[in-house]
Amino acid sequence: MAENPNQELVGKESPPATIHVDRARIRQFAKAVGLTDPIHYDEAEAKRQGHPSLVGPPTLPIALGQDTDPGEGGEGPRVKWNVAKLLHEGTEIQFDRPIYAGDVLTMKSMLKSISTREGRSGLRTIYVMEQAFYDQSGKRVCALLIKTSEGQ
Amino acid sequence: MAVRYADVKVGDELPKYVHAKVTRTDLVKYAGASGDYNPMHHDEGIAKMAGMPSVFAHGMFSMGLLSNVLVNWAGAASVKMFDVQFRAITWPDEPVTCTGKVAGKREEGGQKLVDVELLCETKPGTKTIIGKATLRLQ
Repeated sequence: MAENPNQELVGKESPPATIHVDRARIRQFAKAVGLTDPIHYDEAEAKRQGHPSLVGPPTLPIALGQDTDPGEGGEGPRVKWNVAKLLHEGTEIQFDRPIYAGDVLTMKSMLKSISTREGRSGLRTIYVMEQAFYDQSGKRVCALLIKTSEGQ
Repeated sequence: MAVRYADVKVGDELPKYVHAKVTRTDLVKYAGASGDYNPMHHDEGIAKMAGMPSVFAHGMFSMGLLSNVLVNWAGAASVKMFDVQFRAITWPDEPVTCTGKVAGKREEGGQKLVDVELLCETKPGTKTIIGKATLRLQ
């Protein structure tokens, strides 16, 4: 099998982008997935429970890429693939700490790995894209691993 | 009141979360919140042209519904890892039932961790998501 032309993208970080996490996005996202815990909506209640501000829902990282400051990168690596043959296989989210309203995060994206898997309908190529989010001191807050497969 | 590590036993079931019916409005709300405007999830014409019977839910919408099981049991701030595999499409008007079960507990690097297995089903037996999570408890 010929080498995957996207192999050269693996491990290369895209230019960083800045995201200001605001209360409105946390509330909007929490509502869209049906969460009812007041720590996603009510600043005073979140603080009473020991959080610095509203707490981001567990799957919020998927939404943050749309909130990058203008003029910055923010786009992921340009993988060449056949869009008609793609399947979203799964997503993994890792948290070193929760996301809070008021966080200013730096997002870095890369194609983390390319592998192959024999599926029911033949060989599929598995791409793992990573978006990692860091706080202002450079500590990682969370990372999103998006697994996409491409059929032959 | 969130669950405490000492009270957790392997095999415990997490309180289930049921979303009675996925509506097209749900999908539009999720598109707006997530920024995922893939028309397959809101534009009936484009979905049909692509050979689908109708629009269908974002996989990440179902993952978001599934997060209710974790949040309602232990709080959003407890989530250390949440990993899902998408197994089947969720269609409008289907109910989504999200369940979880404790698979293990361990103390590691001073953290009290609980591993859970997760599932989303539409009709009984139709698994749309198989997932797992690790939660940090007190």
